[in-house]
Amino acid sequence: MDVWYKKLGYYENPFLINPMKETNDLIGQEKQLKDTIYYTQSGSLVFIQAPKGSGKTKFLRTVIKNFPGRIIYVNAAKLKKTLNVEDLLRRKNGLSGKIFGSKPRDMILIIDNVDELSKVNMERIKFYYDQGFLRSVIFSGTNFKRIDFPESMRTRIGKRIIQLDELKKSEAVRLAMDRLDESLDEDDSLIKKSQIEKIYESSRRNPRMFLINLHRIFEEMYFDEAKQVTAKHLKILEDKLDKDDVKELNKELEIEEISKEETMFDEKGHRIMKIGEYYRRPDYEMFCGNCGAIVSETDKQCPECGSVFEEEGEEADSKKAKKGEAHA
Amino acid sequence: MRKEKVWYEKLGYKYNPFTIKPGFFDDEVVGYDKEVEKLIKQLNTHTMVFLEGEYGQGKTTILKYLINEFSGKKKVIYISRNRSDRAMNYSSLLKGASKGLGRLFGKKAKNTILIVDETAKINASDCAQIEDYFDKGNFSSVLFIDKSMAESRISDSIKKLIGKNIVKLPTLNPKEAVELVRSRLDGNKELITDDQIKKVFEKSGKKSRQFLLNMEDVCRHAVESEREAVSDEDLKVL
Repeated sequence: MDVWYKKLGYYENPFLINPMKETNDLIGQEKQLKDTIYYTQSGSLVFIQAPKGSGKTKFLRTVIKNFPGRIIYVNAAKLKKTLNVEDLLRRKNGLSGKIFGSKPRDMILIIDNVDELSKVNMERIKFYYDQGFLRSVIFSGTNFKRIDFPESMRTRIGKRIIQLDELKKSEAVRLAMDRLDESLDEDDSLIKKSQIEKIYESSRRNPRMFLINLHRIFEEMYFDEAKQVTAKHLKILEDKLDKDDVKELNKELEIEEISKEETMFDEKGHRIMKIGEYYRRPDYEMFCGNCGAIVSETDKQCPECGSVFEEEGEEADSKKAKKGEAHA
Repeated sequence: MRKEKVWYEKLGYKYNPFTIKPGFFDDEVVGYDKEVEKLIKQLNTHTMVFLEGEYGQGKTTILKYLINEFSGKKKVIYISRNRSDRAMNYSSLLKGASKGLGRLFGKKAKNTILIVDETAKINASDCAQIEDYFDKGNFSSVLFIDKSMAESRISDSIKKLIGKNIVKLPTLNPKEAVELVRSRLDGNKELITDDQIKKVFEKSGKKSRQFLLNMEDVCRHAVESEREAVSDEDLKVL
């Protein structure tokens, strides 16, 4: 079976939501882009703030283009929890970094979706920034206030919080036309300006939802064997999407799904678990079962939270307890 | 590709003169001469000291200054105790700090100064090791740096050893704030007046870091508005 966009002569779905791949220009956000580029150059910590699906990653991609070769980009939402920023820096320094553990200087670190970053990593980032390994750091997230930044990090960011603008209606129209590579309101246009505006409104002005809905409408038009979008096709927006629909759409539009599984694994496939604010490997590490702090075999009490561990009676038992959770 | 010059480049600076990176401009511990002198004196004796200061007051800047000051005279081991929750291995740190043949045979260095920045993740094992090597003379002196000793996680016995050796950083006064800016601007007197600097300082809650960030915003605004000197209009960005 053919798909709608192939029938219309597109090689790929024009509404893909894959900021790493698509090459269309950023629409709007001129002031924000200028400020971010300035702060990045002058060596600051900046926070890019915008709701989910409103184009943060696309925005960051545009920033990256201005600093070729100097950027380390990390999507914290995709990270395994055991990430160590130090390793990242070392890897960037090529072979000599791997052998001698040297780190490059003056790099720019971009942490996308910082909501998911652990506190220890934030402290590491602060250290590398203070020591001059990192020239600047750009964080992106949905809400600065709700992120658990350590106070010392918060004061380094100060007021350097850049709020992305919501796309204007006219910009949403431009976005759709850019994607379709079409001109507006000719007799044979696939879609009319007023229709695009309507779709943007019913997508609650969220760019990601907007692109998803455009895709749904064009697909509907294809099923209908029509040549132009009509009011009838717009009706599909009234249908609610269930879980399976969302899954399928995500796949079709290449949206990165970020699943939060109960069992977690690190990059080498070891099972990890979350205790307090730490991620631990129960097979290898000995930690306090209450707060997650690393403890030594001889500790009778947790040095961090003070909980007293149970005494193990027999020799065999204590060996077993050497690794894993120390019971409070 | 970026071509346009940013404000400080237009003024002839290669780097942002108001960067908040500690020790980027190695000259300065403006306003803390007395404290620094006291610290140097104490660290030259067998003692433990705690340096207290608010966020953004310049603790790490002073630390960098101290490391510079002691370089070539005494071995300094500097650790930032907030990057991992595992206790440090002080024995290997000391081995790494010994020289020549001693290093080859895994001898531990003597008479070193230990500086522990950010004591947030320090634990009982750290404290015990530090105390032990302090008693044995491997660490001739130890400096802890954090917001407050009372809130710090260092052990009670170390707190006892520190005793009254707490150096607290005072807040900058407006005169020192002006001095800081003048030193950063390296002789440029036209850009901003002393009174304007004091105003920015006042609006920054007298915190050095916030003050530097604000100074950057004000000066950038002035240059980007194509003014040669900061006007009251630029102060409004705060």
